[in-house]
Amino acid sequence: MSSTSNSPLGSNRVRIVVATSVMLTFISYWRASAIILNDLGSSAFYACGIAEQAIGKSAPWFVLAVMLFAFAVRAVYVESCSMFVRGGVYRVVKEALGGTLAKLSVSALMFDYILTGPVSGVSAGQYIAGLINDTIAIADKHGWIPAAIHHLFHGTPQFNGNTTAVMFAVAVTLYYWWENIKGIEESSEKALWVMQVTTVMVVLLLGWSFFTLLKVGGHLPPFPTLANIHYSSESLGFWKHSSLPHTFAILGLIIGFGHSVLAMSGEESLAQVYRELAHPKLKNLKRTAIVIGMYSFLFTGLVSFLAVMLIPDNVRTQVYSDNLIAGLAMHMVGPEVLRLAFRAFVVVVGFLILSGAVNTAIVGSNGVLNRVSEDGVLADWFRRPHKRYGTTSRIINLIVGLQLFTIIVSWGNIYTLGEAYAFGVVWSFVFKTVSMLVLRYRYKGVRNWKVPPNFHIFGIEIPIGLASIAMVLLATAIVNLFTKSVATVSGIIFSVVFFCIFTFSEKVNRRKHAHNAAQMQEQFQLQVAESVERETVGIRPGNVLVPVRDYNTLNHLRWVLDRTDTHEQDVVVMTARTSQFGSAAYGLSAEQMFSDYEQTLFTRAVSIAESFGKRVSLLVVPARDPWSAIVQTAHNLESSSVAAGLSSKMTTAEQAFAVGSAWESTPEPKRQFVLQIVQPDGTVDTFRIGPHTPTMKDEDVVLLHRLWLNITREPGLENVHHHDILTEALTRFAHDYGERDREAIVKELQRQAAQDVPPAVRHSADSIPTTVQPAPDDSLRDDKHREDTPSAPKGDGSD
Amino acid sequence: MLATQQNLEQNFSRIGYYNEVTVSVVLVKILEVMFVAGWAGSAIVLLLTGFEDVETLLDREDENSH
Repeated sequence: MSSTSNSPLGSNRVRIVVATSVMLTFISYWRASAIILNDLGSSAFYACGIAEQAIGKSAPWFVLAVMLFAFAVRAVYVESCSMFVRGGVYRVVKEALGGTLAKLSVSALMFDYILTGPVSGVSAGQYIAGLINDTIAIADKHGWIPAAIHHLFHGTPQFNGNTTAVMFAVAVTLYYWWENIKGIEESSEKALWVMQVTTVMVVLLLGWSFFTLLKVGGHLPPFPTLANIHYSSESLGFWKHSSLPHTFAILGLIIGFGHSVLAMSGEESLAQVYRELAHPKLKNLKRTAIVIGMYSFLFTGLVSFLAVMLIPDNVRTQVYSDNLIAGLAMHMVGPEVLRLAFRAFVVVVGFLILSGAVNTAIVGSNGVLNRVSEDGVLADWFRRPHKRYGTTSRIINLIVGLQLFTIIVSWGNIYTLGEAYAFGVVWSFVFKTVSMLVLRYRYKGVRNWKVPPNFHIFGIEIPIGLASIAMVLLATAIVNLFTKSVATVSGIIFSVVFFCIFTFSEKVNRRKHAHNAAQMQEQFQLQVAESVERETVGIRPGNVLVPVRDYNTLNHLRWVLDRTDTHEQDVVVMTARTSQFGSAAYGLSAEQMFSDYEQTLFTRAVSIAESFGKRVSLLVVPARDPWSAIVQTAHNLESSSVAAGLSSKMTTAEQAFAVGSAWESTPEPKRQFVLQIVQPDGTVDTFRIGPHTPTMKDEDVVLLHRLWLNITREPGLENVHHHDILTEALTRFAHDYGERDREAIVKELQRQAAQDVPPAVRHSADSIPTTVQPAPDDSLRDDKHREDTPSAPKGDGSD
Repeated sequence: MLATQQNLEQNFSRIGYYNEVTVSVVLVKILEVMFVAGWAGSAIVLLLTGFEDVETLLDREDENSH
């Protein structure tokens, strides 16, 4: 049967169902908070140091004001997410202000994302360099440094902070570049663990600092009056020679606020995790917003104050301005060794959270560029998957190239990096908030929550709250344009260059896509569906799902087609369009989902099916995690088995474990299925996914049958089934395990496990039945009571 | 004649300077209004959302703890 002649719609073209909703694994608000705080919390390590360098000792007041204001900004994100499930900057600005300004806002956001990496990497490097230098200095003080080394370095050996920071930042960036090229999964588990460790540090830091304050006393930082704001030579930028900042107190406040605004970078992540939040989504989003707001307020806000109160001015500004928390650790009361040990802990936590932020920057930038690329505003060339790993390596290369360039040009100067970073942060917030304001009048769809307060005058809504937030952000962004000359020049150049690339690419792509669409229409017919359903794909239950990714390794599809009678059992070829953390925040269209690559992949699949004279159904699903996508698709399509090829990165057992883990995290109800992994040499490993009937030994079956024969002879037990005996036996076993003979049972099972065989049932391809449908456990059946069979996968795929 | 011309030039340059100062002052005043009014409104946002936050925190229904 030719694949091209059996389209359910009667067309000559092969029909491809393209699902547009990304298949996600939903997470709790704690995990969501951890993901965001990995970015938001990391700014505590450098924000106050940078602000103090710019405006002097009253900087903590501004940082505190920024952290307070961040509560208001997160309200904007809550409202945008209540309107669009994918409520990031690009989507909101595009809806409100159109494509041109959306491209401009994405350029500013990219500037923010790309700088997150260098600023975090360099900051971590500064903490490490500071720790090494201070440890050497203390060792030298105790005479532990040999005289020869002392002589060689003409004094105490010291590492150059900036050079060390650059080397470290480059190393970390390259490490995460390679991890992203390979396609590491974003793990909320890992983020949660990092935040747990960070919380231990924060509790110790705050507790010990307050104890120190009680012991030695301290003074609050000077209030932010014009007299107390001391501008550095760099902090006034284009207003260096102007009298305005020294004349108007309000300008001093805005300048100070503008220099501290980077403390709330990372709020955009709120929109990106929203899609993955578990039900009830909006309530959980609010909980997430509260958690991140309180955490960053306490961490970033209080640490800024404590640092200024506890570290002497000359030491703080000269030694610890780039590693303020380390300085705080060294100025607690207590033995020097203990303080040094705590500082080492601070550095370890800093390393974890800041290097995590480097990864977040790469993943986030990749997500945003993927999104705009899929929207046709970046050349398709960038999106072509890596030959081996299937990742968008060209986009990752571009991002990491820009980050490395930034690190080297700044040469470890955290102040310059932070100042530039603030440009992207504040302008992306401005675009977002102004767009939300416009959408109050233009958007007519569902909006579950609004930033309060709102009044109505003559039937017209006046969004006081939203307008207020927009005014503060806009005033700050305008003043920043004058006071942050490096950020303004570099930010504008970067944004304009990216904007031009986007605009030019869009024009080229529009022509190319028109041509491709015409070509594609000759071969494939795309049918868009919001979600994957068996009825939509037009297949029967009990089908075989064949996940494909690399068009050069489709042996498993050949294997399935060779053994499947497609008149009896449908074969669905599915590819998961991996959508990384970040890109899940954006909507996807069929054209975005079905790129040149998918076209080539399915052309090969159809060609193979035609060579067997069999029909296959084709499916594209977007997914955050391909394993989860396979499990969810198998569930939705009521597939009895999944036949996958061998991964280039994993063993068959690891693949099965990944599918099993995805199955475990899938919400109920869920179906069991058989996973078959076909290796290039034709060997097949079979795994049962989900709870399933165990394979019973022959002697156990005989024992069961004998018991059944004996029991049915008892008066009144003639109608007992085999499963009744198993139920009774298992109930007694559970009772014994729970109460009486736990230790004896465990010992016996351990003895048996030592003699057990591997879980996979390995056999050659030739021994597989003519259908990939696995044989059910017939050993448990007897002809008399066939309906008693436990829930092994059945021929019709029903449970 | 020359003195009059110099006076005129000085006056013009003074007018230019005053214009520049006036524009700067007006711009600063606009920024001031935006920032102060914005902060006042944002404070109300903080207050109102703060009450809502407390309600959200107290409402344990549907909470997922994993």
